Amino acid sequence: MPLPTLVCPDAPGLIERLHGRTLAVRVDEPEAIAGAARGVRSSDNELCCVICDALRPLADLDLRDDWDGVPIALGVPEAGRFRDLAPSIPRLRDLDLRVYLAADRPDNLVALRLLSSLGVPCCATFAGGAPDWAALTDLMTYALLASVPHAPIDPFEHIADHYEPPFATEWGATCFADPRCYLHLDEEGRVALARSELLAGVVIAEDVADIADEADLVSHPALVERAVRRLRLFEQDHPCARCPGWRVCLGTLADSLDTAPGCAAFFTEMLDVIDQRRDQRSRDREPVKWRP
Amino acid sequence: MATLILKATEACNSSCAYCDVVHKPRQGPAQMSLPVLERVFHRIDEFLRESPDEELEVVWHGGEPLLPGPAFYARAVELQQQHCAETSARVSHSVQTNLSLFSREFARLFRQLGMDCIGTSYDPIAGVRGPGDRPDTAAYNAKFMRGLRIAEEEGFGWGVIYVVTKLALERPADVFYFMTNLKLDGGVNFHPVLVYGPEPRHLAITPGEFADFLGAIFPVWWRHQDRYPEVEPFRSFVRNAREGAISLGCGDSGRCSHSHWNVAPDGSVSHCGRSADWGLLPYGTVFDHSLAEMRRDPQRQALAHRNEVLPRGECQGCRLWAICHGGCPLDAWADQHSFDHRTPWCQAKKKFVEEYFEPITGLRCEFDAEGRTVQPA
Amino acid sequence: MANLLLTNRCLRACPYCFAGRELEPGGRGTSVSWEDAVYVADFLFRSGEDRLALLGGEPMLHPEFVDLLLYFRARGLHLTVFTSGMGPAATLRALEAHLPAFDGDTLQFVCNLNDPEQTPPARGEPARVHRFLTAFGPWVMPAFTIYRPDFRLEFLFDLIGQHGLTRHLRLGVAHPVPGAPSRHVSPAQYREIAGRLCSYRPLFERFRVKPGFDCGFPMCQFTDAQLGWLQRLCGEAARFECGAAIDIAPDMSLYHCFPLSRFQRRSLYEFDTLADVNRFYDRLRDDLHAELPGIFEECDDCIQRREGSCAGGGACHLMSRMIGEASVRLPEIDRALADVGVPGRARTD
Ligand SMILES: C[S@@+](CC[C@H](N)C(=O)[O-])C[C@H]1O[C@@H](n2cnc3c(N)ncnc32)[C@H](O)[C@@H]1O
Ligand code: SF4
Ligand code: SF4
Ligand code: SF4
Ligand code: SF4
Ligand code: SF4
Repeated sequence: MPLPTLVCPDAPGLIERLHGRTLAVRVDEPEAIAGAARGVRSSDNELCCVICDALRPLADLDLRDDWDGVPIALGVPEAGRFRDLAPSIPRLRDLDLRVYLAADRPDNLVALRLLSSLGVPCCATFAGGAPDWAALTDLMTYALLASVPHAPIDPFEHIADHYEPPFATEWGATCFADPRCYLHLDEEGRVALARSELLAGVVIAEDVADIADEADLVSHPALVERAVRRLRLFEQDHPCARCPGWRVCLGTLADSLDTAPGCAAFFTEMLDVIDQRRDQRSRDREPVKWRP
Repeated sequence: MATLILKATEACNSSCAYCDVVHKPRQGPAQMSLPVLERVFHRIDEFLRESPDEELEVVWHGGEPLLPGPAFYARAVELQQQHCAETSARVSHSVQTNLSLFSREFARLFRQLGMDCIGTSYDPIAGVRGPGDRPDTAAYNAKFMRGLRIAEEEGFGWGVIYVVTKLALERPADVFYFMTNLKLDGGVNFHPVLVYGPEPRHLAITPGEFADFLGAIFPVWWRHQDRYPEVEPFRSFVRNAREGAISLGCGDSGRCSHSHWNVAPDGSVSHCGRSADWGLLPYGTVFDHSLAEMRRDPQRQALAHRNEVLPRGECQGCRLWAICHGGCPLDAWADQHSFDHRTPWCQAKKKFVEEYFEPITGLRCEFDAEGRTVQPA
Repeated sequence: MANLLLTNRCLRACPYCFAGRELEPGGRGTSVSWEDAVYVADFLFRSGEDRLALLGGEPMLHPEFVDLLLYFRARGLHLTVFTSGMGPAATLRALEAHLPAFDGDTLQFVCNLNDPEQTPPARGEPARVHRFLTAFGPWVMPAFTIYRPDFRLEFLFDLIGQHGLTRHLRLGVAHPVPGAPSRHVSPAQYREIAGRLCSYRPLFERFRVKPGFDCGFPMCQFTDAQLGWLQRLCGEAARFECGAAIDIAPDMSLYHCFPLSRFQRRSLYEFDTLADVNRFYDRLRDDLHAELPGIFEECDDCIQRREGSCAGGGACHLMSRMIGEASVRLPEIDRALADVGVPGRARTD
């Protein structure tokens, strides 16, 4: 296991303290994206990407010239009206960027499809609200089966690419939520397994220096506890344990089962769609990718 | 392969509702003494020296085989090294445990015995498995999962038996998904609960109900075999139907008559665990007889005889004979007090094949006397 | 080319409208969803087709008309919008603001204009149409539907001059909808219509306006002299066809054209490409023509029809005729007639 990427704030003091790490820098304002990228690149760390959760609709953002060449994970609350977004499409397509939209808003499901169909990579996030599962199923089917070139919609694309039956596929990494791939740092260098845990003050190390190599991590009780948490679902005969879609969810949405039921049918369907996609691809020629 | 079932103990730390190990009256000691254990290894070595072409599998069974503790297995490792210095390459080990006591210590010892896979059982339905008169499932489950995690972390493969009881009949899909989620790459085996006495009535199922249970989950498995590989008995049915009778458990093979010994904690030997429980087929003790002698025991003829009686009698003309052989002789005995009958599970097999397997797969389950598939003209 | 009906609402009620049966005058109607819009764009991409016509009802009444237009453009489609010109003010404003996104000839409007005197306008129609033409004149091709032999074209030349419309007039004759009432011209009136049309020769020439024919005109109803004039004026021979682009309804159902909307209605989801769809409906039309070659007796042995330079009039007329007849050979036609409620036809479903 390579050492996970560190998701950290754009804090020069912290970044200078780190050496030879791969960093995903988190900024609050889209205006700060380019500066944050420069900061990491001028340190002796590697830049994974800049993460920005903007508070304005995508259509309202200024897609600045200095974003060129910066990998950007851009979260937005909504895409905005298409008429306002349309002028940005070519630019969005040229940037090295993925747009994150919460799946619990119906208009976002539409936006994900439009962006994808126009060649803009994007990702649905599951923040806890109840998505319209039927609409989401439709979107997922589009993402995975539509034969016309379109940009990937994650996590569907990620899951479909990585699922190797009979084994399970984790997809938390598509939104930086898999501690085997991403650890989360605060300004002081404290380390947490998830962003939510960092915000809640649940840290696994007081200083990032304590997580120097993978040995510090594999046996770390907090990480072990995470694995145990999954088995606990079986122990309790939790609905996730008997969910037909378990293989491509692993209880990722277990906490929101009460508020957003319907996930099981969705992920079960996804398994079938993935099978269908594999059949389709084994019959057809190589799929046309939007980007080479 | 020669199979030696070793009852390391007849005690158990659980008291699963359908299991009579802890419920039945016991004569003799619960746990195997070290002298008996030593004698067993001595006999194994003796047997393998006499038969240079044979291999032997030791199945650690119980009761709960982990109950005697790591020291017992440490001793087994030593004894095998001492007594089977030249033959140990032909000895393999397997274990059937509830995993609740599994530890890294056991993992190390089992590896020394050459094991890389562990057999276990589980049931998510509350009240079936666990210690106590009314099984404390919660406590048991926690220990099971703990053991399972250690086994996985230690790199052991594992397979799991699911015993289908009345409680499972209401929710076959739940049970299927649970077990195949727990064990993603398969190694799940569905068995019917065997209830011989009047109790536990509330768990007993009929052969027809077992067939219907299998039939309820079979279509899901059939459609997605890459998703759920190695689910038994489905995979064997398919392999057999396609390739001829090649994948048979002991109860279906018609060949257990000369392959099994069961050694009880006191060293007495019977055919298998169930014959020992019922006082049938006593072959002597490890102190009096060699394994080879006990393998020649004339009582075994009664089992072999069945293969001649049934095809001319109850199983005459049955197209499943080659993958069934009348089922487990002990099941037949439990029903009719004679080995010369087919088992009541005959009905389950036929019903599953005719009502579910064949219509769903379009495969035909028909075999000639040699076990080759026969396709309708 | 395909027609996508964005909505089945319309603010006008043209006496000749063959869409009538598909329209929902009141209420919110059915509008194309974004999901289906993406599907249609994908479908056209897969078909190697880069033209799309947007229709209705009144397409501008789709609540996200401008957004859809921009989306289809972003998908590389060349767009033609068939409109009555009666768009909501906000839509027109937004459209104006986004016009620069449509460079070259990537967007064109075909505005179906009614003679204010012969066809009484709907409430607010003159003002709205005026606003539309004022804003988009150069993008607009005028269109006119002939539904009475005494039609008049003068007002069109006025509008063309006044708003700088495209100097190309799209002319349609009103076709019948089998089994439903709508004003249309009968085959017997075509010669008179052809003559009246050619009587506008001075105006066409003075304003340098070229007429173009929509489906269903019969060639033989023009004299050779008339045809020659038309060809000289337009620089190409006029076409006398039945069937141009298939219609995709807001719910993704498909039909050959409005008059035949209940005849072999299918779903876009049943086909892989536009070529497949066209093949399907071409065969249907051929079947109809096999049953009844054309709208005139003469069509039976007509050389033009054999040569393919005239379709023998519209299949809609043929279908309407068959309604009155005892029996037809094609069971599908029988079934279709039953579907549109013709008495005496056994429903087979
Ligand atoms: C149904 S309309 C829909 C778009 C828009 N509402 C309009 O009027 O342009 C499309 C075209 O069909 C024409 N049309 C309507 N009824 C017709 C009929 N009975 N025969 C021939 N064309 C007709 C209209 O004049 C218009 O040009
Ligand atoms: S899909 Fe829902 S029920 Fe199934 S595992 Fe995921 S969170 Fe649990
Ligand atoms: S299925 Fe029944 S009849 Fe056939 S061999 Fe087995 S026990 Fe005998
Ligand atoms: S012709 Fe067009 S404007 Fe007239 S009623 Fe029909 S759809 Fe409406
Ligand atoms: S096909 Fe019929 S309508 Fe056409 S030119 Fe010939 S006779 Fe006239
Ligand atoms: S049937 Fe032919 S002529 Fe009539 S409306 Fe349809 S396409 Fe036009």
